Amino acid sequence: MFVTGRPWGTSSPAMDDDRALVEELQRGSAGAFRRFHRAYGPRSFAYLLRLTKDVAEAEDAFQETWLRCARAVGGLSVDTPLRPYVLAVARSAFIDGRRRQRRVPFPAGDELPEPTDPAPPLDALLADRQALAALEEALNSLDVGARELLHATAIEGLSAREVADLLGISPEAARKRLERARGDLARALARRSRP
Amino acid sequence: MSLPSEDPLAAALQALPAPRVPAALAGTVEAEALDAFREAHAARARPSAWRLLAVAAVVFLYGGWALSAAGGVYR
Repeated sequence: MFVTGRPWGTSSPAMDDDRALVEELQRGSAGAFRRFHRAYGPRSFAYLLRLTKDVAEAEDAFQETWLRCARAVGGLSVDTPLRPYVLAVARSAFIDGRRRQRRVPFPAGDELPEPTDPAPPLDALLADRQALAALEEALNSLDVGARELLHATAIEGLSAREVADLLGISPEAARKRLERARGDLARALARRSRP
Repeated sequence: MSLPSEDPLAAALQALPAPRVPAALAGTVEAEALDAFREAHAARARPSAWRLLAVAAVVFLYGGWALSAAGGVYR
């Protein structure tokens, strides 16, 4: 489903220098806006694709995300970290898009039932080449909340506070959900690695 | 809570191929967003009607006070 690009790399230089970038954006610099979009656009698209699992829906939400960012980013305070900010705007665009389609963005029934069996050790599964090859598929088999949480923490590297702010929950609740998501992913991987 | 980079799950997920924004979409979105950014900046820079009203009120009150004070001096 995904268009293959380069593997996830380290953060771009713009991410290490958010404060300077926000100052330029406050002054209305078009060059700064292009840098902002090029640094965070691909990440916001990947996050939306992870949420939607649908290219057309992700594209619509991506367009909406960047219009919203364009209107608001010049008014941000200089200490706003841009990565969580862009993800929050993308999440809000995703939720609004789903509501327009009269769909529940994070359906409660979408969650897998509470597992009764203990999750297999994830480390051993990740060392198994066969299981690793199915990682993308296993990740996409999880409910939208688990996919989002694993993406935000493992790929985007958001902190506990940032994830809690993004989801509108406490850091403790986020931690619990992350543990659950890791267990769900381990089970999904184990199912795929069985001969 | 963010997964440390040495976490095997984080490493495995980061090794997945990153999706690429379709070039045509990236270009269109950037152009539209840039227009919206310029408009928003111009709107922020433009004085609002309330701000103009506040300035006019200050000028009127201060001007009135200054004129009355001057009238007192010259009387």
